[in-house]
Amino acid sequence: MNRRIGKTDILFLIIVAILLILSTMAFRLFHRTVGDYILVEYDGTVIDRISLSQDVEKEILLENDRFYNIVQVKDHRAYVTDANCPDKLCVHQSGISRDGETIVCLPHKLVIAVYGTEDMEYDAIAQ
Amino acid sequence: MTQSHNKGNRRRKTAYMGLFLALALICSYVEALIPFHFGIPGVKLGLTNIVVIFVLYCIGPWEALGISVFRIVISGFLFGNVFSILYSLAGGLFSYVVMLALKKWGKINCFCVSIAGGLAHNIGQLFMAAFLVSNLSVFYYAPVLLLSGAVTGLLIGIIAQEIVLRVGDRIGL
Repeated sequence: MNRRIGKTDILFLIIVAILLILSTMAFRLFHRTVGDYILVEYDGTVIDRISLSQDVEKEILLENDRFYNIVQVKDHRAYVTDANCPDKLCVHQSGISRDGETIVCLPHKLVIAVYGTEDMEYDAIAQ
Repeated sequence: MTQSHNKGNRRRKTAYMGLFLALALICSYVEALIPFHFGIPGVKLGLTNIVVIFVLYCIGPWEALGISVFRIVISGFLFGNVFSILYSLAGGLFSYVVMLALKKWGKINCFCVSIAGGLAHNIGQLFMAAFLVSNLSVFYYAPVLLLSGAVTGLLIGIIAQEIVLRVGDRIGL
């Protein structure tokens, strides 16, 4: 075996590349549509449903108002604009609009996921 | 003679382990400093993996495991929270097991082991995230996280491999 790169390494790289391409293709196949609404799920149960068709801002209160996440819908996209979680990863996440996309706030056990089946291709959204 | 040699060796090792743990923590700190938000959480450079791979290749598997676990717990207390510790442990341990297995297999070079480690790290984190929020929808980002794991794993792996090849034999343990 070569000290830096050998035949098995190249084979390994090819296998990894194929797996990555396959997973991306599967992803594209299943999530092509823009969603209609978002479900706010706390610890596995749905606690709220917000339509994406009109702009709103909503405060999600959890655990006897100890935790909050502010969800904003703007131009058919949902964002978390503020939260009192320790890492703020949910706030840093970009907006979601496609079916299946999620914003996760791990410390608050909160998942915001897009659902619905408006038949629109990626390109239609870009325009 | 041999006894004093062993003693010296053990002292050397203790010193080295402290040094590597400190280095791993500095890498964590540097990563915490960089505002590295790609829109989705979990995309990280993984600088500390350079240290873990180096220790795995040049000192031993138990030492690498120790560095990895202590680094995660200490940096979690310093720069993160309980969730980031759980999250990192899932990724770190799974990545460690995969890298150790591939290293023992011995057919692929260090940088490929690092790629597998990067992939395993993100897979481990995804499962932990899904478990913590009791929701499978976090897997939506699996392709992006796998891609980022492979790319950062490759970059980190190339650096780690060069370090192992150039100075690995000077550790003398």
